[in-house]
Amino acid sequence: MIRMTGIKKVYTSGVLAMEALADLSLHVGKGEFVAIMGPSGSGKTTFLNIAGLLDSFDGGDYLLDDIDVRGLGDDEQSRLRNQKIGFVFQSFNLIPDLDVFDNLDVPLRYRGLHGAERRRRIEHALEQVGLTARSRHLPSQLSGGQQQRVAIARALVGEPKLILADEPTGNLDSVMARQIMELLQKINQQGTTIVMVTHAAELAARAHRKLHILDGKVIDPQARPRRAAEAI
Amino acid sequence: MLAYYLQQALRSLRRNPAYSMLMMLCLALGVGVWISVHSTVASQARDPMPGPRNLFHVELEHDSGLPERMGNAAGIWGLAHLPDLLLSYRQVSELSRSQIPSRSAGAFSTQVAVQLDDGRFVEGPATFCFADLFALFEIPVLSGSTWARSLDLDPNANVAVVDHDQARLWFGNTDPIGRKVRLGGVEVTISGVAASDPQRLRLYHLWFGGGYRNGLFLPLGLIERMRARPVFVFGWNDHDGANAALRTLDDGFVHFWVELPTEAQRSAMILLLDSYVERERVSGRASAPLRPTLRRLDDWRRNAHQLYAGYRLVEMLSLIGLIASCLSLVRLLMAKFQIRAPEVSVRRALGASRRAVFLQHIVEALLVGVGGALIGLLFASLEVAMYNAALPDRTVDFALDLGQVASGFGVTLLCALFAGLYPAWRICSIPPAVYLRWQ
Repeated sequence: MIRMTGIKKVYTSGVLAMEALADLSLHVGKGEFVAIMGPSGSGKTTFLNIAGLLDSFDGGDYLLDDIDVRGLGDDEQSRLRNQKIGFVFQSFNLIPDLDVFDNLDVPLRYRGLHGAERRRRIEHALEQVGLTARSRHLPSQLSGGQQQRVAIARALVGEPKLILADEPTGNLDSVMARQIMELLQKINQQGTTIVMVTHAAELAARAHRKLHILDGKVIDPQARPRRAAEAI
Repeated sequence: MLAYYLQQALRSLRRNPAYSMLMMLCLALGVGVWISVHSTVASQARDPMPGPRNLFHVELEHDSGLPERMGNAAGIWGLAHLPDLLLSYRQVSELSRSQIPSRSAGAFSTQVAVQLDDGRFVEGPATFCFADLFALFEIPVLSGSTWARSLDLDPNANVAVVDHDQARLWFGNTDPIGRKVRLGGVEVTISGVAASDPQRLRLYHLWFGGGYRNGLFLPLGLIERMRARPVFVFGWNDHDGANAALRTLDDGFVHFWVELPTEAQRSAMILLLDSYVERERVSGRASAPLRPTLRRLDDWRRNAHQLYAGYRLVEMLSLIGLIASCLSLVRLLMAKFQIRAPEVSVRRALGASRRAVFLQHIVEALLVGVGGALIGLLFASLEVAMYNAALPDRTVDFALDLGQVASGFGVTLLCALFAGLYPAWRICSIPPAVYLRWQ
C-alpha cells in the first residue's frame, strides 16, 4: 500500500536547513495494521504528512497503492487523498460549526457524489461507529470519545484503502481508548490498511507490526537497542 | 459544487454577522457614492427636451489656446475646451445672414450688474440672444412680447424680456412690462415676461457666471455697446476692449443654433459651413484652422457634458473612493480567510483541491459583493435624495434609473471579485500540512 524508498525532507528557514527525514524507506502491505513509534521530533509527523500527500518531499520515491506520487499535480494528489486515504487526528479536527452529518459529508462533496449516495454512505459510516442518533449534533455537543468516533467515521465514509491515524487515543480515557482501538481493529479486519502513530506500547501491541522512526529514519530496534529503547 | 460553495459561504458569513456586515458596509460605502455620483451626472446629461427635433448646434472647432491664457482657471471652471467649439461674435453675425435655416439664434449667457428703476443695484443673469431663441428652446412668453428679429444684432436696441421668477424678485407683484433697467450704462425697457424654466438654457448653454434663473434676455447686438464678453475674450490684461475689436476677434463665446427640418437644408448648411471655413482660411481672418460641425441638440448636450471638467473630476474622486473601498475589503477578507486556515487545511486533507478552495472563497467574496451591492444601492438612493434636498436650485431632478442600478450591481460584483482574488489565492496556496494539527 505504501512503498517509500530513500525519502528525504529538508525544512529550510533562512540560512538554516533541518533534515526531517533522511533516507527513510519503508513498506506497508495492503491490509496491514502498522504502528509507527518514535520520540518527539523523530520525523513521525513529517512521515504522516508525506504519506498523506499533505506535504512534498525532496528526494526518494513514494508509491501509494502502486501509484508513483512524485510529480503529480495538486488536482491528482487531492483526488488520491480523497479516494484512497482517511485521516484520524489526535485532536479530531472536526469542523466546529458543521454538525456530525455535514462533517462526514465534506469528503463526499469533494468526490462529487450525488445526494442519495452521500446519505447512504454517511448513514453506513455512522452505524459502524455507533453514532446514528447523533447525526445532527455539533462536535461541541459530543464527548471526546464520540468526537473521535465521528472523526473515524469521516475517515471511513469515503471507503479509503488506507487510514493514517496519529495518536487516535491520545486525548481519551482508557475506556474510550480501548473502544477506539477495537473499532480500528475491526476496520482493519474488513480490509483497510491502517498506519497508526503512537507512543503507547500497549496500543502498538495491537498492530501487526511495529516500526520505529528515529532521526528521520526507520530503524531496527534490535540493531540499535539502547538508543531506540531510550528514545521510546 | 457551486451550490455547496454557496452554502458554505453563507455559513461562513453567518458565523460572524457583525464582521460580515462590516465587509458589506465597507464595499457599500464606496459603491453607494460611486453610483450616486454617476446617477447625478447621468441625470444632468439626460436630454430635458427629448423627442425628435431639428435643432442643430453650429461649431467651428479651433485651437484657441485658452488653457494657456487662463492657466488653471480654465480647467477649474470647465472652460478648457468648450469655448473652442463656440463661435465668435463676428462669425455668428456673418452666418446668421444665411437664409438656409428656418430659424436661427445666437446666444451668450453671463452675469451682469443691473440698476433697477428705483435706483437699487442688483446682480442678475443675462442671456444676449436672438428673438428666435424663445421658440427654438420652447420658452413661452407669458405676457408682452419679445423684440423684432431686426434688433437681434442691433447695438442700439433698448429692449429686454425678463424671466418670470426674476421679475418677482426685482419688482414684486407689479407688472414689469414697460419698466426700465440699466446695464453697463445702457437703459433698456422690459417688453415681455418669459416663463421660468432654467433647465432649457442651463443644460444647453455654457454659462459665464452663476445664478439659477434666466434673468434678463437681451438682443445679442447689445454686447457691442455694453462690452459684455467673458474675461478671456480680450485676454487677461486688456480691459480696454474697444467696441470695434469685438467685430473682428475670433474668440469663441457665442452659441449658434439653427433649425434645419429637411435633409436638403442640412446638406445646404454643411456646404455653407465648408465654404465659410474655406473663405476664412483664404482671407486669413481666422487665427487658427476651423473644423466645422453641425451637431444635433442631444449630441451637443452629450459632448458638452463629456467635456465639462467638473463632472470628470467628481467622477474620478468617486472612483478613487470605490478603489479605496475595494482595497479595504481585500484587507478584511485576508484577515477572515487567514483565520480559517486550519479548517481549510482539514478540507484539503479530506480531498479539496487548491482550485476548490479558491472557488469556495471567491464565492464567499461574491456573496459579500451581493450584500454590499444591495446596501450600496440603498445608500445611493439616499444620497441622491439628499442631493435633491440640498440643491433646490438644481437644473434637473437627480434619480437612479434601472440601467444605473443594474450597472451599479455589476460593478459591485466586479469589485468583490477583484477584492477576493488575492485573499482566495493566498489561502488556497498554503500547504495543508502547515495548519493541520496532528496532535
